[in-house]
Amino acid sequence: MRNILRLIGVVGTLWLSGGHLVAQEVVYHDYGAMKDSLSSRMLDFWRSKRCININTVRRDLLENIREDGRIEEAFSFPAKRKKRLDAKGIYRVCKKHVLSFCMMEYRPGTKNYWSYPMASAVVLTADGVCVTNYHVLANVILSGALKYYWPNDFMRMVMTAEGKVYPVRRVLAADPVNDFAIFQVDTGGDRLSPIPLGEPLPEGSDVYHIGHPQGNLFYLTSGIVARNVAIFDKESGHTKLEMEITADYATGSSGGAIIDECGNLAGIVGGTYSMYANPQLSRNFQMSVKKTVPVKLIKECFLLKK
Amino acid sequence: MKHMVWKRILLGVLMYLPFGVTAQEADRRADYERLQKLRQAEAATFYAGADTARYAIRYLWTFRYDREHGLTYREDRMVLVAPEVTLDMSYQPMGERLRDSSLAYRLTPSFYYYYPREKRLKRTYRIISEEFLLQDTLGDPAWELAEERKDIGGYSCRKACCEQGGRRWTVWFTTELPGIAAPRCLTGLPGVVLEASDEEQEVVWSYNGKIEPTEEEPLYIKFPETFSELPVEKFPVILRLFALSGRNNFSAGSYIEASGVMNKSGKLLPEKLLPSTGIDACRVTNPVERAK
Repeated sequence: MRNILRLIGVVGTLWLSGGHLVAQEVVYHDYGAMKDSLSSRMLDFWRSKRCININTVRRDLLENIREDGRIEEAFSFPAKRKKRLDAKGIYRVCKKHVLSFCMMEYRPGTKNYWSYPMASAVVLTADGVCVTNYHVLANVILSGALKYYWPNDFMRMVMTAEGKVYPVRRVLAADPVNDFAIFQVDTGGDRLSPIPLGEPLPEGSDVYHIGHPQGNLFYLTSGIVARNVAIFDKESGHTKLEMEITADYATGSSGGAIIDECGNLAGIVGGTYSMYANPQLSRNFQMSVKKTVPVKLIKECFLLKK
Repeated sequence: MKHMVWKRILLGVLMYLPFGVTAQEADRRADYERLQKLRQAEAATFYAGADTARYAIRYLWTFRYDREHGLTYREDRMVLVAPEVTLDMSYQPMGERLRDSSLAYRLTPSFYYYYPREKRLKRTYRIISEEFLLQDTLGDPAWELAEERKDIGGYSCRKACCEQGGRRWTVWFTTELPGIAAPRCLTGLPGVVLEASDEEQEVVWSYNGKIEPTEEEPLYIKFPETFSELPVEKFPVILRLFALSGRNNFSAGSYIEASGVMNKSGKLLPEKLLPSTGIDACRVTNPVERAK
């Protein structure tokens, strides 16, 4: 009887401690502290690495962008993942590929720097090539194209899930029609964690999104591909490709990762289109179509040399 | 008693309301007149010493820029005619000032200055406040004059043909108007071209009236005094970015406005062109000038 009780006690203790260990794996992140330390981290980087500021990126913009909107420079991309992952696996594996896209301004009134997350981005290569939406970088691109400088605009930077910050170094390509832009950050010698580029997904495929809706850093949602759409604009003759999905996202998710079931990039967040029962008055919200930029366009942007 | 007080207050408000509305309307009118005077003063300074045209010819320009999808672009253009120089430009800014409801609402900020004495054509392009000199060439197309005549807008016109930019053009010009003028590169005829088209009717300038200058609306022709410091070889990149960022021409200027570039030039130009690139915002698969 004693032995049986001992056995129950040992098994119970193991079970309980096992449960305890699982519970310990769940980490409650203080994302607020990450955001609060943005300026000091960026200034540390700036002082130690002597990186360039955003007006220098503006100044050099025309040197780096091609007329056809593509990238000639050869970059090395990671191999595609083939093993299917569940949602927990996707978050564990892919969180490190997603970046918070931030802005840093100088406030002359208070003589200090103010930083805040404004959107999302995704790492494409270890040497700092990333993708976000065109509309996230439109200000820098358009003002840079005409060499117009904003005096108190100090930096655009990305922040990793570990809280490391890297400043935007150059813009490589911009596609205003399909709403994406490729840029490179100054990694200061660090190697970033790039996401493998996936294949175009058919309707019904599972997708996940990791982004920062309204500054809620590294937020995971899931859904399916609802439609793949080509939108032909009869006014201009341009065609826009969209992958519409059902995974939720919001303002601040712009440029965030849309990930396939194996953890490859399937696209990036584009925009949303809200449907109302009374569209004239935007009343009685019914559903929101999530429009994303398919990975096919991002891949085609690189003139991949075989 | 309380009701009586409220009634009096309400009555008082209602009595004075029309005066308030009239005063607001008068303020608005005064503001508009003040802005008009300011614009005229700016224009007088900016255009001091510039050529003034005797008149202008307005055209409706239609261009089938995408054959496959059957897409056609329409823009109101005009050619300003002065003895020493002519200028082909969009009619949109003037049409807006005159509140012309017949506008096609398209604006391509391309300008073709033609100097008949030298047979010299200069093409400039304005992106926001940056002026680019894109072309400076000498010579006119080789015209074949025909005997055919027809009446356009009350003017007797004669037919002429030429080969230019990979297309065969037919134009109708009149000698009943003073000066010599033509749209785009169809220069060199001894008169004013009122109608022009290629043989496939893909690029057409249709006569849409004669514009007379007035005291309030003189027709200035001023070649830019300075050009952008940005390298002209980068113009296609700049044009692509601005064209695609505001490709709906009149509704999608927000990225451009938000980028601050509208404020780059401290001194505003009197002609405040909207941040539009007109035909250049379209995906042109059937260009006007085909490969040589």
